[in-house]
Amino acid sequence: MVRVRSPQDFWAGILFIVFGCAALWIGRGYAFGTLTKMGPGYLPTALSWALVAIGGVLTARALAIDGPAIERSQVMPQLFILAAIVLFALLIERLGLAFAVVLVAVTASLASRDMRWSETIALALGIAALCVLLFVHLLGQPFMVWAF
Amino acid sequence: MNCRLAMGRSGRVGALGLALLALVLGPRPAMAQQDYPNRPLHVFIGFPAGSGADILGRYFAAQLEKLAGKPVVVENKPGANSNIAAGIVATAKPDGYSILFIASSNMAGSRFLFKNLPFDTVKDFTPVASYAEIAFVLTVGAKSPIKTVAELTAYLKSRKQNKYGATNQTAILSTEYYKQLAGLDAVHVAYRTAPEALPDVEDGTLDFMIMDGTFAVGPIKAGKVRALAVTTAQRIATLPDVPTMMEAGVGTFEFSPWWGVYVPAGTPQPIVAKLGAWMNQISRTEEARQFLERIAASPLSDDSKATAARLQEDIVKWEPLVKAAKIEPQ
Amino acid sequence: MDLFANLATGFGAAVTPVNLGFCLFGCLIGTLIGVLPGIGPIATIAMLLPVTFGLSPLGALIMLAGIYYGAQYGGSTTAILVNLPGESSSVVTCIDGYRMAQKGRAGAALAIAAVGSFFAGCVGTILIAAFAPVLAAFAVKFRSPEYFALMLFGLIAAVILAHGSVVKAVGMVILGLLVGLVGTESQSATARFTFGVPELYDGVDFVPLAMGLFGLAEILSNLDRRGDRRTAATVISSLWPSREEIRRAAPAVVRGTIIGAVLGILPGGGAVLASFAAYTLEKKTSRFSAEFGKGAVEGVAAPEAANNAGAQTSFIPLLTLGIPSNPVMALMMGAMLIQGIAPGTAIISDRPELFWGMVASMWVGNLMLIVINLPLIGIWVRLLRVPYRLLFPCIVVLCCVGAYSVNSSTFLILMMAGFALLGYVFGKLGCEGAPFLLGFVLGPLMEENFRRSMVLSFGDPTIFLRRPISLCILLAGLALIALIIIPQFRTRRDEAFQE
Repeated sequence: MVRVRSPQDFWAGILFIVFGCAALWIGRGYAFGTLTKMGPGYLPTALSWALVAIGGVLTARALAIDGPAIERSQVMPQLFILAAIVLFALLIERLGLAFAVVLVAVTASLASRDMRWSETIALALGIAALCVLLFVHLLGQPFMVWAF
Repeated sequence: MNCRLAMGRSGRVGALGLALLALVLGPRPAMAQQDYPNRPLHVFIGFPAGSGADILGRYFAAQLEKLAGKPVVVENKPGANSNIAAGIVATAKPDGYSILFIASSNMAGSRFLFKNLPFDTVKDFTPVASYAEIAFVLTVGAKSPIKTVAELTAYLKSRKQNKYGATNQTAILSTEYYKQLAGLDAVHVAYRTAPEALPDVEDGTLDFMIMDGTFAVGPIKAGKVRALAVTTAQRIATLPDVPTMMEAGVGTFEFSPWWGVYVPAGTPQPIVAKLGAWMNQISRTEEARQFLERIAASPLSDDSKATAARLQEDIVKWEPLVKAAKIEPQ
Repeated sequence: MDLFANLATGFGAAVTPVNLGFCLFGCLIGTLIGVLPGIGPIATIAMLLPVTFGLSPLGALIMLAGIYYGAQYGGSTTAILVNLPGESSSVVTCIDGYRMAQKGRAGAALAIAAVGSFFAGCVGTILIAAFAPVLAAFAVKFRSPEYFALMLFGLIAAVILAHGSVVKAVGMVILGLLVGLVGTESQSATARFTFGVPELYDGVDFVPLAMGLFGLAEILSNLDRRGDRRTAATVISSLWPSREEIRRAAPAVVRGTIIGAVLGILPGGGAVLASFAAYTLEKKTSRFSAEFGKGAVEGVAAPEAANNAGAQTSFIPLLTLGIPSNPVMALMMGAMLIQGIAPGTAIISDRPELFWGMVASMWVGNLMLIVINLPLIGIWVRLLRVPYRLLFPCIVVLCCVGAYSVNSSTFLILMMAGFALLGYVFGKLGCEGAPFLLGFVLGPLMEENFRRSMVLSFGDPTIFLRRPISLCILLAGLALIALIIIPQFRTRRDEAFQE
């Protein structure tokens, strides 16, 4: 059984191979052309193959040479942050800047182990007020502030 | 995963649930037609900030803001020959708050140049007004010995490998039209902006270029490029000594790109009339005329019906041009 | 001498209360938007263009220029404090600047960045005043073939930028190139990798990419440990650089200034290379090259100086040739057109008070900015002492609002989330963001210039070798490749010897 001796390099290699293949697949319809009359597909195809090759080299090397392991992820904090960002995208045009910011600030704060509700609510309200003042009033951005 | 965290999170998951509830129950802003406008207007321009089209549009947007009494926000959505901007307005709510500022070449030409347009430039829009007409200028480098269009045609015919520069669809089409009428062959070199192409025109790397009047005026007056002709039907005030293409002997050549205002089809007639009246008012001011003259343009003030007629004329003109130029639809 | 007379005219025109007011306003707004993630100088200047209709030409240009370099200073601030690059040129400052902040040297990093930028700004102003026409003549020699060679050189340099594995850096550059190709290809008007999404037709926007890949990814990885990697030293750090730091930074500032001044003049995208090139030079020639990537002071000083020098000299093509070097200059040109000044006319001779007034106001602007930014350092450092659990939600919120402000598009926010996740994964796998970003920025430019060169030469690839400047750059690129590969062989041989 071949052992993965360098997990970081191994998975980086796999990532590159996956991206390269995906790019090759998505770009399969673009005209190729020649080197001197390059079509839109020339460079993407060439680069995709290069990426797959690099990924292959990395993966192969990872089976032969030792390297650092991948640090563990807590997963939940990261999910809360990503959820907060997605939430903002969904809420900004429905609830307006003020409410969106409050909800997003709270959701993001939930990612922290040391979170305290009193602090968080105060912070959320504060940063919402700051955003409205800064972006809408000072910088004149055309954001919807309230839902009504 | 850390189990200790999962336990203490129940309260937090509840908070997340609250947020999702807010999402579901979130109200949407209501539309009101009587007191138009009661919110900011959004003008969409299909060209990047700082381009000739953008400067022109922003001037009118700024004047419009004064008349409308509400902020007018200009949003640049460049790309795909203004199709992105047009697409956004085509599918926007027909309440008069999403407005398209777009060139005639895009509105008239897109249907022939693109295969799968998600909108129809005639059916999905209501024309509101026209506001400016721009001249394009046929230029060569100042160091070039060529002084007239006739000389240029003779020169190009005598060589096999000719190159011309173009930055947008109007320029490409007018060049193809010229090539067709004069019986020439020249290959197109693409540039993103006119200033990028300027050094190549100046030193003769490009044999000629039909460029936006707005950007041509500066280099012409500085003596870097020479204007051989303008593409409009009449000479323009900014360059009174430059003949038109027709005067210079190129058959029935006439290309007068103009800029118009459009809203989604189905926008209530009173709103269209109100917006159109404001735009016409701006075009008729002396200040607007002076501003436009600086950028080699002249004001237009058609109302909704006249603009629709102008557009129809252009569509009729463009179809044979595109076919004759053998441009493949994308 | 003529120069003094001209400068006197310039200062006379620029140092009026009204124009000073415009300058201050521009610098303040510029610093603000530079610090705020998302909204940048292009959007701000575009928004203020209508306001300039009613202003005097010099006043309008001074204000807009102030916004431009104010944003440069501000962008470096967030790069150092929270790993958020304000512009593509601030990305390099993130690498060592942020690490310095984590080691408690935020104040020193900010001070070096500010002073280095000021020095570069002064030199830049002198260069413009004394050598504008000469520099312009040099800049005009750069056409598509030369730009292609330059971009290619830049990409090779990007690999040196990385402090980890060379193979991974190459992979990241290639991946960045691919992401950079997303959008509509100009010569054939084909949409590539756009999945039919309108927001992608013009390519992936830099702002959500940078905010996600750098700022937010950093937050995601910080949450894997208690707070961020700041050491206790943060509490007791001094605000100013130590004498050792100053001694190391000073020559780096000078080298960065030269690189930035030269690359900034090139209209076709040289300025974006300036900070990367300065960083690479420092890394390869410094005695302390092992420190790069962990908080080397040269890694902040040189790119910052290069940035600002480039920002100053990027005005030259516009003022002397009427050719804008970047989108901000295009907007400035728009402002001039509105005022009835057709750029491309010899502004130096036709409107001397305008040209020299601008030159003088550049120096005044730099002076104002350093006066504004130095005292702010104390506030920024104090901000860093806020407990991380309160700081990071604010950063998340500001990034979201900033991403939305680019185009009022929620798609960009979702894209930013995607890049945040990607950046987090990259971090876990030891892949670096800076080479990726350089590939992203340079890729499309390189392709465009290559294709245009091919069309212009009717398919003859020797055009790159026949033109002297592009030949030199290509040879330099080969030398750079050798520089990368040879050390690899040496270490392999050493390893072999040890076994």
